[in-house]
Amino acid sequence: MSTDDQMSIEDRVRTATRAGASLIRDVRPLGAPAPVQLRRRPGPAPRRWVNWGAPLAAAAAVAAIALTLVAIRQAGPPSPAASGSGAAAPVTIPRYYAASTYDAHTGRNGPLIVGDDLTGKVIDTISPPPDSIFTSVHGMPDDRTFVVQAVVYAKPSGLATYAWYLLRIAPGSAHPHQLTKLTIKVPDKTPGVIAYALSPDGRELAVESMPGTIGDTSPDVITLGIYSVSSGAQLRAWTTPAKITSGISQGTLSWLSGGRQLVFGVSESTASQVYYIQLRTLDVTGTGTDLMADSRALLTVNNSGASTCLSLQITSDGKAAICATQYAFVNGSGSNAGCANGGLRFIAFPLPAPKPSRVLYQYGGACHNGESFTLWTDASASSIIGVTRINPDNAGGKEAVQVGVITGGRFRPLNIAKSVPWANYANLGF
Amino acid sequence: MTQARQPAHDGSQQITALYQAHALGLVRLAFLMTGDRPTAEDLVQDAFLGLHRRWDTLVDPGKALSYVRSCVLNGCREIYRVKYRKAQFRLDPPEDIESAEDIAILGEANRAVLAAIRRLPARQREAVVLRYYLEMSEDQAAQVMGVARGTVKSATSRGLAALARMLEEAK
Repeated sequence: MSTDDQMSIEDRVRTATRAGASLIRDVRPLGAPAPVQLRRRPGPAPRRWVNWGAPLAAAAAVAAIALTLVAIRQAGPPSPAASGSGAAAPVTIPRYYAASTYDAHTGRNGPLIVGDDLTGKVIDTISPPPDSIFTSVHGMPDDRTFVVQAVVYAKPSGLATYAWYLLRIAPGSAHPHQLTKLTIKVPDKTPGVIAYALSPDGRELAVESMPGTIGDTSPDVITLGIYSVSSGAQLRAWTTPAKITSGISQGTLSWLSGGRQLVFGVSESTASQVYYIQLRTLDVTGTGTDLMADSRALLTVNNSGASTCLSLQITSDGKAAICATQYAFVNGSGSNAGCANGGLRFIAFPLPAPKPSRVLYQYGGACHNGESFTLWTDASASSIIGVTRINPDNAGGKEAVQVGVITGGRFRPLNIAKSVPWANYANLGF
Repeated sequence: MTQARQPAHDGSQQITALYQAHALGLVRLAFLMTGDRPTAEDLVQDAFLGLHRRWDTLVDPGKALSYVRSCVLNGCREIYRVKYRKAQFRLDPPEDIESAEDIAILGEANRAVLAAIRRLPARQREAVVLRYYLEMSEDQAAQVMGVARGTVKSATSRGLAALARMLEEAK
């Protein structure tokens, strides 16, 4: 007879609940009340706001950042699936997402929405500040924190600059979000931000940028800067010695090794018009300011032909890079048969290279051309959230866009709000 | 002469003190109910913010802890309601957040008991946790749950029986 059998059920409950409770060893500080309540309270302002609310509201930016940082530091790995019976094999993915509904195709501005991919429910909508457009979102591993990028158009010059916000969500609560503007300003005049990524401890934001107008990705000098989240100051910066084509997308820029390394992408062509993309790793603790000389190549992929990588994202364990391909979108080449037979794939390249790659998922339906993109990956690339965008024919057929979980070679659609446009994919963060 | 600022009469000091003294315990309680730490923290934060909003209307500040605890339990019930109503495709259930370290600390037997507790109906789960984790009397649990003492008694009895059955079946 086991010890458990000898214990009464009451004692087993006592023992288990105490053991379970002991897993929680600290709590985050109490958050500030939402400022909206201060504005809308009828009648004379109560003294409690003067004494407690007002100082907190004045320090709201700092407090929110601090709370978020604490939350990020406390966050453990993504939750494992629950035990128990169920038809679908449980996998581990983030439950909440944030998405900009700004449509770059039509120029129509829209709010940021926070959604639940399990239920399909939109939890909250957040309007952009005046003269601003929320353009992209980057999710953090705690499933509650996001970095949101906005483009701000100054009046009357119309000059565009970038701004970043920390979004902290609290699903199910009366105050489901807290949005805090960061003081970071990229020093370049009219910079084009290629990618950004928040460090694992939430203290620093890495920003990859180049001069030029927004959206202009022609070759130029690239700057990779690290900024303090709390002060906005630039802490470090590296630049390329010559003009170069940037990394391929937001999502390529990643922190590794607990914030000691930054992985970024560059793209280049040879004289014979063979295009390649390269993932490089930079030790941010080292000295130097030359982005190329101070970094080393991790992976180089030939990116010529009808099927090419549209996104290339390294996993957090640094052991694989996931290429999501596009088919015939770039050069107009390819065929229907080619598109439907391996044209659209999610491919894992084991690192360090070279090692044989493996196909995680391959689209096999009707397809004239299409794109795929990695939105999120777990540490080992066993579960991925990706998007596929399929044009079934070249005769005006309706384009099909699906966001789904890729695991075990299968693509299972997720419930994403229909108001999320698909002009680009960086507007959706998990 | 500049007058010293008067101490706050808005409850902020009391609320801060209450948070420092009881937040950890309440997060633990919510964690046992929901199995999800971020959700538990959110529920407790929300309960304290709700207390702050309603401080003026609180007749007896001495009952602030009871108020907050009730808010947390209500929040746990709501979380379960939504979860069970809507969860059809289990991709990222919020329960059972356990790191390798947590699993080692808990042990297999305790994990099984905790998982079984989370499968109990809400009232039985609350009654069992309040009675055997917080060691409340039936009267105290009845007050917190807002039900009669007899309801606590029967919910506890049924909860324990269900737990024993689930754990036996899991062997």
